[in-house]
Amino acid sequence: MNTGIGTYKKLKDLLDELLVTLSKSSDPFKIDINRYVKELEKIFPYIDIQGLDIDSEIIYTLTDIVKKQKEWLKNKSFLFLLGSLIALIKIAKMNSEDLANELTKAWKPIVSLEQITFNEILRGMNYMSQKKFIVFEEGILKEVKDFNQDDLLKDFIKKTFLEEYIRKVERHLSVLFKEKNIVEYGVLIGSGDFKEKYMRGLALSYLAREGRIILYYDAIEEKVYILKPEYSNNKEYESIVIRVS
Amino acid sequence: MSSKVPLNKIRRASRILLFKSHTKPGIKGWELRSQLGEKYIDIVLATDMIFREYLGLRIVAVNADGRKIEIKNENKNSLRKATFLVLVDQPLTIRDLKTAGWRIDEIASLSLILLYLLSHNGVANINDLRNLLVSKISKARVNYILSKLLRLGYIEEKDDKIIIGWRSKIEIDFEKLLGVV
Repeated sequence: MNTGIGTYKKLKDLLDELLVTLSKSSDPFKIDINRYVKELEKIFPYIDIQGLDIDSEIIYTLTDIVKKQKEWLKNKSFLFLLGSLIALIKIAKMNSEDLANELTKAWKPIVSLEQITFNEILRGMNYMSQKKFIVFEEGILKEVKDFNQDDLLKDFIKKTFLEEYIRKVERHLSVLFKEKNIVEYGVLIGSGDFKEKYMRGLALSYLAREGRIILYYDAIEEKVYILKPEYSNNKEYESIVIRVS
Repeated sequence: MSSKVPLNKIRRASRILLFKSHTKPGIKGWELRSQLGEKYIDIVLATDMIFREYLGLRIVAVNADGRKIEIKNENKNSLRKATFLVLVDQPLTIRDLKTAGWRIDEIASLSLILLYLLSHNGVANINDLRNLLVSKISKARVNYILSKLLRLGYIEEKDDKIIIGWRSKIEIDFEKLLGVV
Protein backbone atom coordinates (compact mmCIF):
# COMPACT_ATOMS: atom_id res chain seq x y z
CA MET A 1 0.00 0.00 0.00
CA ASN A 2 2.37 2.68 1.14
CA THR A 3 5.86 3.69 0.28
CA GLY A 4 7.68 5.93 2.75
CA ILE A 5 6.86 9.04 0.68
CA GLY A 6 3.24 7.94 0.17
CA THR A 7 2.76 7.42 3.91
CA TYR A 8 4.36 10.78 4.68
CA LYS A 9 2.05 12.52 2.17
CA LYS A 10 -1.01 10.76 3.54
CA LEU A 11 -0.09 11.79 7.10
CA LYS A 12 0.59 15.35 5.99
CA ASP A 13 -2.81 15.52 4.21
CA LEU A 14 -4.51 14.13 7.29
CA LEU A 15 -2.87 16.71 9.54
CA ASP A 16 -3.69 19.56 7.13
CA GLU A 17 -7.31 18.44 6.93
CA LEU A 18 -7.52 18.22 10.71
CA LEU A 19 -6.06 21.68 11.20
CA VAL A 20 -8.31 23.24 8.54
CA THR A 21 -11.46 21.68 10.07
CA LEU A 22 -10.34 22.85 13.48
CA SER A 23 -9.74 26.42 12.31
CA LYS A 24 -13.16 26.60 10.63
CA SER A 25 -15.23 25.68 13.64
CA SER A 26 -15.28 26.60 17.28
CA ASP A 27 -17.32 23.49 18.05
CA PRO A 28 -14.90 20.65 18.99
CA PHE A 29 -17.61 18.07 18.23
CA LYS A 30 -17.35 18.90 14.53
CA ILE A 31 -14.17 16.77 14.45
CA ASP A 32 -14.78 13.09 13.84
CA ILE A 33 -12.06 11.73 16.11
CA ASN A 34 -12.86 8.07 15.37
CA ARG A 35 -12.22 8.57 11.69
CA TYR A 36 -8.79 10.07 12.32
CA VAL A 37 -7.85 7.31 14.75
CA LYS A 38 -8.91 4.65 12.22
CA GLU A 39 -6.92 6.37 9.46
CA LEU A 40 -3.88 6.50 11.71
CA GLU A 41 -4.32 2.84 12.60
CA LYS A 42 -4.22 1.93 8.91
CA ILE A 43 -1.12 4.01 8.20
CA PHE A 44 0.72 3.24 11.45
CA PRO A 45 2.54 0.03 10.33
CA TYR A 46 4.10 1.93 7.40
CA ILE A 47 5.27 5.03 9.25
CA ASP A 48 9.00 5.68 9.06
CA ILE A 49 11.10 8.07 11.17
CA GLN A 50 10.17 11.01 8.92
CA GLY A 51 6.47 10.34 9.46
CA LEU A 52 6.69 9.99 13.21
CA ASP A 53 6.82 13.74 13.78
CA ILE A 54 3.56 14.29 11.92
CA ASP A 55 2.00 11.22 13.52
CA SER A 56 2.69 12.56 16.99
CA GLU A 57 1.41 16.00 15.97
CA ILE A 58 -1.90 14.48 14.86
CA ILE A 59 -2.19 12.51 18.11
CA TYR A 60 -1.38 15.64 20.11
CA THR A 61 -4.02 17.65 18.18
CA LEU A 62 -6.62 14.91 18.69
CA THR A 63 -5.87 14.78 22.43
CA ASP A 64 -6.30 18.52 22.58
CA ILE A 65 -9.69 18.21 20.86
CA VAL A 66 -10.86 15.54 23.32
CA LYS A 67 -9.83 17.87 26.14
CA LYS A 68 -11.78 20.71 24.55
CA GLN A 69 -14.83 18.46 24.13
CA LYS A 70 -14.67 17.62 27.86
CA GLU A 71 -14.42 21.30 28.82
CA TRP A 72 -17.20 22.19 26.40
CA LEU A 73 -19.52 19.58 27.95
CA LYS A 74 -18.67 20.73 31.46
CA ASN A 75 -19.33 24.33 30.51
CA LYS A 76 -22.56 23.53 28.64
CA SER A 77 -24.02 21.42 31.43
CA PHE A 78 -23.27 24.24 33.88
CA LEU A 79 -24.91 26.75 31.53
CA PHE A 80 -27.88 24.45 31.15
CA LEU A 81 -28.40 24.26 34.92
CA LEU A 82 -27.85 27.98 35.33
CA GLY A 83 -30.16 28.67 32.37
CA SER A 84 -33.00 26.62 33.86
CA LEU A 85 -32.68 28.49 37.12
CA ILE A 86 -32.67 31.89 35.37
CA ALA A 87 -35.68 30.85 33.28
CA LEU A 88 -37.70 29.98 36.38
CA ILE A 89 -36.76 33.27 38.06
CA LYS A 90 -37.75 35.23 34.95
CA ILE A 91 -41.10 33.40 34.76
CA ALA A 92 -41.83 34.16 38.41
CA LYS A 93 -40.66 37.77 38.54
CA MET A 94 -41.31 39.38 35.17
CA ASN A 95 -44.50 41.01 33.95
CA SER A 96 -45.77 40.78 30.35
CA GLU A 97 -43.87 43.81 29.14
CA ASP A 98 -40.54 42.65 30.62
CA LEU A 99 -41.03 39.18 29.17
CA ALA A 100 -41.77 40.67 25.74
CA ASN A 101 -38.66 42.86 25.99
CA GLU A 102 -36.51 39.88 26.96
CA LEU A 103 -37.66 38.01 23.88
CA THR A 104 -37.05 40.88 21.48
CA LYS A 105 -33.37 40.92 22.51
CA ALA A 106 -32.99 37.30 21.42
CA TRP A 107 -35.37 37.27 18.46
CA LYS A 108 -34.34 37.57 14.82
CA PRO A 109 -37.46 36.73 12.82
CA ILE A 110 -37.56 35.14 9.40
CA VAL A 111 -38.28 37.68 6.67
CA SER A 112 -40.70 36.61 3.97
CA LEU A 113 -43.10 38.60 1.87
CA GLU A 114 -46.71 37.65 2.30
CA GLN A 115 -48.23 41.00 3.12
CA ILE A 116 -47.99 44.43 1.62
CA THR A 117 -48.45 47.86 3.17
CA PHE A 118 -48.38 51.38 1.78
CA ASN A 119 -44.89 51.91 3.12
CA GLU A 120 -43.68 48.77 1.37
CA ILE A 121 -45.28 49.88 -1.88
CA LEU A 122 -43.58 53.27 -1.53
CA ARG A 123 -40.27 51.63 -0.76
CA GLY A 124 -40.67 49.37 -3.78
CA MET A 125 -41.63 52.30 -5.99
CA ASN A 126 -38.67 54.24 -4.70
CA TYR A 127 -36.44 51.41 -5.72
CA MET A 128 -38.04 51.02 -9.14
CA SER A 129 -38.03 54.75 -9.83
CA GLN A 130 -34.32 55.06 -9.28
CA LYS A 131 -32.72 54.52 -12.61
CA LYS A 132 -29.60 53.78 -10.73
CA PHE A 133 -26.58 52.05 -11.93
CA ILE A 134 -25.48 49.52 -9.40
CA VAL A 135 -22.35 47.53 -9.76
CA PHE A 136 -21.50 44.79 -7.35
CA GLU A 137 -17.85 44.01 -7.39
CA GLU A 138 -16.00 43.00 -4.25
CA GLY A 139 -18.95 44.22 -2.18
CA ILE A 140 -19.19 47.80 -3.52
CA LEU A 141 -22.56 49.32 -4.42
CA LYS A 142 -23.39 52.75 -5.87
CA GLU A 143 -25.29 55.31 -3.73
CA VAL A 144 -29.11 55.59 -3.89
CA LYS A 145 -30.62 58.98 -4.84
CA ASP A 146 -33.26 60.83 -2.79
CA PHE A 147 -36.90 60.67 -3.79
CA ASN A 148 -40.12 62.57 -3.15
CA GLN A 149 -42.63 60.36 -1.34
CA ASP A 150 -45.70 62.50 -2.14
CA ASP A 151 -44.98 62.49 -5.87
CA LEU A 152 -44.54 58.74 -5.79
CA LEU A 153 -47.82 58.30 -3.95
CA LYS A 154 -49.72 60.47 -6.47
CA ASP A 155 -48.13 58.54 -9.31
CA PHE A 156 -49.03 55.23 -7.68
CA ILE A 157 -52.67 56.22 -7.18
CA LYS A 158 -52.92 57.28 -10.82
CA LYS A 159 -51.28 54.17 -12.22
CA THR A 160 -53.25 51.68 -10.17
CA PHE A 161 -56.65 53.37 -10.67
CA LEU A 162 -56.80 53.53 -6.87
CA GLU A 163 -58.65 56.86 -7.09
CA GLU A 164 -61.67 55.05 -8.48
CA TYR A 165 -61.62 52.59 -5.56
CA ILE A 166 -61.11 55.39 -3.03
CA ARG A 167 -64.26 57.12 -4.34
CA LYS A 168 -66.18 53.83 -4.40
CA VAL A 169 -65.18 52.96 -0.82
CA GLU A 170 -66.01 56.47 0.45
CA ARG A 171 -69.45 56.32 -1.18
CA HIS A 172 -70.12 52.89 0.34
CA LEU A 173 -68.92 54.10 3.74
CA SER A 174 -71.10 57.20 3.71
CA VAL A 175 -74.15 54.95 3.13
CA LEU A 176 -73.13 52.61 5.96
CA PHE A 177 -72.31 55.50 8.33
CA LYS A 178 -75.92 56.75 7.95
CA GLU A 179 -77.08 53.54 9.65
CA LYS A 180 -74.28 53.14 12.23
CA ASN A 181 -71.31 55.12 13.49
CA ILE A 182 -69.11 52.06 13.34
CA VAL A 183 -68.61 49.75 10.36
CA GLU A 184 -66.93 46.38 10.45
CA TYR A 185 -63.90 46.24 8.17
CA GLY A 186 -64.92 42.82 6.83
CA VAL A 187 -68.34 44.14 5.77
CA LEU A 188 -66.74 46.73 3.53
CA ILE A 189 -64.06 44.43 2.17
CA GLY A 190 -65.98 41.18 2.11
CA SER A 191 -67.53 41.26 -1.35
CA GLY A 192 -66.07 40.73 -4.80
CA ASP A 193 -63.06 38.87 -6.10
CA PHE A 194 -59.60 39.00 -4.57
CA LYS A 195 -58.46 41.96 -6.64
CA GLU A 196 -61.56 43.91 -5.65
CA LYS A 197 -60.97 43.09 -1.96
CA TYR A 198 -57.30 43.97 -2.20
CA MET A 199 -57.95 47.29 -3.90
CA ARG A 200 -60.64 48.18 -1.36
CA GLY A 201 -58.23 47.29 1.43
CA LEU A 202 -55.59 49.47 -0.15
CA ALA A 203 -58.09 52.34 -0.56
CA LEU A 204 -59.06 52.04 3.13
CA SER A 205 -55.43 52.01 4.11
CA TYR A 206 -54.92 55.19 2.09
CA LEU A 207 -57.95 56.87 3.68
CA ALA A 208 -56.68 55.95 7.16
CA ARG A 209 -53.25 57.27 6.31
CA GLU A 210 -54.84 60.57 5.17
CA GLY A 211 -56.86 60.79 8.41
CA ARG A 212 -60.20 60.55 6.57
CA ILE A 213 -61.24 57.47 8.54
CA ILE A 214 -60.09 55.72 11.72
CA LEU A 215 -59.28 52.03 11.85
CA TYR A 216 -59.89 50.51 15.26
CA TYR A 217 -58.65 47.05 16.20
CA ASP A 218 -60.58 45.12 18.85
CA ALA A 219 -58.03 42.66 20.21
CA ILE A 220 -60.51 40.53 22.13
CA GLU A 221 -62.83 39.98 19.18
CA GLU A 222 -59.94 40.00 16.69
CA LYS A 223 -61.95 42.36 14.49
CA VAL A 224 -61.15 45.65 12.81
CA TYR A 225 -63.71 48.47 12.68
CA ILE A 226 -63.93 51.66 10.64
CA LEU A 227 -64.91 54.90 12.37
CA LYS A 228 -65.38 58.51 11.31
CA PRO A 229 -62.28 60.61 12.08
CA GLU A 230 -64.15 62.73 14.64
CA TYR A 231 -64.42 59.66 16.92
CA SER A 232 -60.69 59.47 17.35
CA ASN A 233 -59.53 60.17 20.89
CA ASN A 234 -56.11 58.81 20.34
CA LYS A 235 -53.30 61.20 19.58
CA GLU A 236 -50.81 58.49 18.73
CA TYR A 237 -51.10 56.30 15.67
CA GLU A 238 -49.50 53.04 14.85
CA SER A 239 -49.56 50.71 11.86
CA ILE A 240 -51.46 47.48 12.11
CA VAL A 241 -51.47 44.58 9.70
CA ILE A 242 -54.88 43.51 8.43
CA ARG A 243 -55.07 40.27 6.51
CA VAL A 244 -57.24 40.49 3.38
CA SER A 245 -58.13 37.00 2.21
CA MET B 1 -16.54 33.52 -2.77
CA SER B 2 -15.68 34.35 -6.36
CA SER B 3 -14.81 38.00 -7.02
CA LYS B 4 -17.64 38.83 -9.44
CA VAL B 5 -21.30 37.94 -9.20
CA PRO B 6 -23.69 39.40 -11.81
CA LEU B 7 -26.19 41.82 -10.28
CA ASN B 8 -29.12 40.21 -12.06
CA LYS B 9 -28.29 36.94 -10.27
CA ILE B 10 -28.29 38.75 -6.92
CA ARG B 11 -31.67 40.31 -7.74
CA ARG B 12 -33.03 36.92 -8.69
CA ALA B 13 -31.64 35.31 -5.54
CA SER B 14 -33.20 38.07 -3.39
CA ARG B 15 -36.56 37.51 -5.02
CA ILE B 16 -36.45 33.75 -4.56
CA LEU B 17 -35.21 33.98 -0.98
CA LEU B 18 -37.60 36.68 0.18
CA PHE B 19 -40.82 35.72 -1.50
CA LYS B 20 -42.65 32.97 0.30
CA SER B 21 -43.34 30.21 -2.20
CA HIS B 22 -44.23 27.31 0.12
CA THR B 23 -46.38 26.97 3.21
CA LYS B 24 -43.25 27.38 5.29
CA PRO B 25 -40.84 30.20 4.52
CA GLY B 26 -37.47 29.37 3.02
CA ILE B 27 -36.19 27.53 0.00
CA LYS B 28 -34.14 24.37 -0.36
CA GLY B 29 -30.57 24.43 -1.62
CA TRP B 30 -31.44 22.24 -4.60
CA GLU B 31 -34.21 24.64 -5.61
CA LEU B 32 -31.77 27.56 -5.47
CA ARG B 33 -29.28 25.56 -7.51
CA SER B 34 -31.87 24.78 -10.17
CA GLN B 35 -32.82 28.46 -10.44
CA LEU B 36 -29.43 30.12 -10.02
CA GLY B 37 -27.08 27.56 -11.46
CA GLU B 38 -24.09 25.56 -10.25
CA LYS B 39 -22.50 28.59 -8.54
CA TYR B 40 -25.56 29.28 -6.42
CA ILE B 41 -23.55 29.34 -3.19
CA ASP B 42 -21.38 32.21 -4.49
CA ILE B 43 -24.56 34.09 -5.44
CA VAL B 44 -26.13 33.43 -2.03
CA LEU B 45 -22.97 34.64 -0.27
CA ALA B 46 -22.87 37.82 -2.39
CA THR B 47 -26.57 38.44 -1.70
CA ASP B 48 -25.94 37.84 2.00
CA MET B 49 -23.16 40.44 1.96
CA ILE B 50 -25.53 43.03 0.46
CA PHE B 51 -28.35 42.07 2.81
CA ARG B 52 -26.09 42.44 5.86
CA GLU B 53 -24.41 45.64 4.75
CA TYR B 54 -27.36 47.58 3.36
CA LEU B 55 -30.58 46.03 4.65
CA GLY B 56 -29.86 44.66 8.12
CA LEU B 57 -30.83 41.16 7.02
CA ARG B 58 -28.86 37.96 6.69
CA ILE B 59 -29.19 34.63 4.97
CA VAL B 60 -28.95 31.43 6.99
CA ALA B 61 -29.06 27.78 6.06
CA VAL B 62 -30.59 25.20 8.39
CA ASN B 63 -30.49 21.41 8.23
CA ALA B 64 -33.42 19.03 8.72
CA ASP B 65 -33.09 19.29 12.52
CA GLY B 66 -33.43 23.07 12.35
CA ARG B 67 -29.76 23.57 13.27
CA LYS B 68 -27.97 26.44 11.53
CA ILE B 69 -25.11 25.37 9.30
CA GLU B 70 -22.29 27.48 7.92
CA ILE B 71 -22.91 28.28 4.26
CA LYS B 72 -19.23 28.87 3.54
CA ASN B 73 -17.86 25.68 5.03
CA GLU B 74 -20.57 23.07 4.75
CA ASN B 75 -20.26 20.37 2.08
CA LYS B 76 -22.25 20.62 -1.15
CA ASN B 77 -24.52 17.70 -0.37
CA SER B 78 -25.66 19.12 3.00
CA LEU B 79 -26.23 22.53 1.42
CA ARG B 80 -28.39 21.04 -1.32
CA LYS B 81 -30.65 19.49 1.35
CA ALA B 82 -30.56 22.56 3.63
CA THR B 83 -33.28 25.23 3.80
CA PHE B 84 -32.16 28.80 3.10
CA LEU B 85 -33.93 31.61 4.90
CA VAL B 86 -33.59 35.34 5.39
CA LEU B 87 -33.50 36.63 8.96
CA VAL B 88 -33.55 40.11 10.45
CA ASP B 89 -29.98 40.82 11.56
CA GLN B 90 -30.59 43.80 13.83
CA PRO B 91 -32.08 44.13 17.29
CA LEU B 92 -35.85 44.54 17.13
CA THR B 93 -38.07 46.78 19.18
CA ILE B 94 -41.55 46.05 20.45
CA ARG B 95 -42.76 48.72 18.01
CA ASP B 96 -41.21 46.83 15.07
CA LEU B 97 -42.99 43.67 16.14
CA LYS B 98 -46.31 45.48 16.61
CA THR B 99 -46.01 46.85 13.09
CA ALA B 100 -45.50 43.29 11.88
CA GLY B 101 -48.80 42.26 13.46
CA TRP B 102 -47.68 41.10 16.93
CA ARG B 103 -49.30 42.21 20.17
CA ILE B 104 -47.41 42.59 23.42
CA ASP B 105 -49.36 39.78 25.10
CA GLU B 106 -48.48 37.46 22.20
CA ILE B 107 -44.77 38.28 22.43
CA ALA B 108 -44.84 37.91 26.21
CA SER B 109 -46.62 34.57 25.88
CA LEU B 110 -44.03 33.25 23.46
CA SER B 111 -41.27 34.42 25.80
CA LEU B 112 -42.98 32.77 28.76
CA ILE B 113 -43.61 29.49 26.94
CA LEU B 114 -40.04 29.27 25.67
CA LEU B 115 -38.59 30.02 29.11
CA TYR B 116 -40.82 27.34 30.59
CA LEU B 117 -39.91 24.79 27.92
CA LEU B 118 -36.19 25.58 28.26
CA SER B 119 -36.38 24.94 31.98
CA HIS B 120 -38.34 21.68 31.51
CA ASN B 121 -36.17 19.81 28.99
CA GLY B 122 -38.10 21.29 26.07
CA VAL B 123 -41.42 19.51 26.82
CA ALA B 124 -44.57 20.69 28.58
CA ASN B 125 -48.17 19.72 29.10
CA ILE B 126 -50.55 22.09 27.31
CA ASN B 127 -52.67 22.58 30.44
CA ASP B 128 -49.59 23.58 32.44
CA LEU B 129 -48.83 26.16 29.77
CA ARG B 130 -52.43 27.43 29.84
CA ASN B 131 -52.23 27.90 33.63
CA LEU B 132 -48.89 29.64 33.28
CA LEU B 133 -50.21 32.03 30.62
CA VAL B 134 -53.32 32.88 32.65
CA SER B 135 -51.02 34.11 35.43
CA LYS B 136 -49.57 36.78 33.12
CA ILE B 137 -52.10 37.60 30.38
CA SER B 138 -55.86 37.82 29.88
CA LYS B 139 -57.57 34.42 30.05
CA ALA B 140 -59.73 35.32 27.04
CA ARG B 141 -56.62 35.50 24.84
CA VAL B 142 -54.84 32.30 25.91
CA ASN B 143 -56.37 29.82 23.46
CA TYR B 144 -56.06 32.20 20.55
CA ILE B 145 -52.39 32.87 21.32
CA LEU B 146 -51.57 29.18 21.72
CA SER B 147 -53.22 28.37 18.39
CA LYS B 148 -51.40 31.26 16.70
CA LEU B 149 -48.01 30.09 18.03
CA LEU B 150 -48.79 26.52 16.93
CA ARG B 151 -49.91 27.68 13.49
CA LEU B 152 -46.79 29.75 12.95
CA GLY B 153 -44.48 26.94 14.11
CA TYR B 154 -43.08 28.62 17.24
CA ILE B 155 -44.31 25.66 19.26
CA GLU B 156 -45.33 22.18 18.12
CA GLU B 157 -47.61 19.48 19.45
CA LYS B 158 -46.11 16.03 19.85
CA ASP B 159 -47.74 13.10 21.69
CA ASP B 160 -50.14 15.44 23.55
CA LYS B 161 -47.21 17.54 24.73
CA ILE B 162 -45.92 20.92 23.60
CA ILE B 163 -42.35 21.16 22.36
CA ILE B 164 -40.20 23.98 20.94
CA GLY B 165 -41.17 24.56 17.31
CA TRP B 166 -39.00 24.70 14.18
CA ARG B 167 -39.39 28.44 13.85
CA SER B 168 -38.25 29.19 17.40
CA LYS B 169 -35.15 27.07 16.85
CA ILE B 170 -34.24 29.17 13.84
CA GLU B 171 -35.27 32.63 14.99
CA ILE B 172 -34.53 32.70 18.70
CA ASP B 173 -31.18 32.64 20.43
CA PHE B 174 -32.12 30.59 23.49
CA GLU B 175 -28.92 31.33 25.40
CA LYS B 176 -29.58 35.03 24.96
CA LEU B 177 -33.19 34.63 26.08
CA LEU B 178 -32.01 32.79 29.18
CA GLY B 179 -29.34 35.40 29.72
CA VAL B 180 -26.43 32.96 29.97
CA VAL B 181 -24.29 34.62 27.28
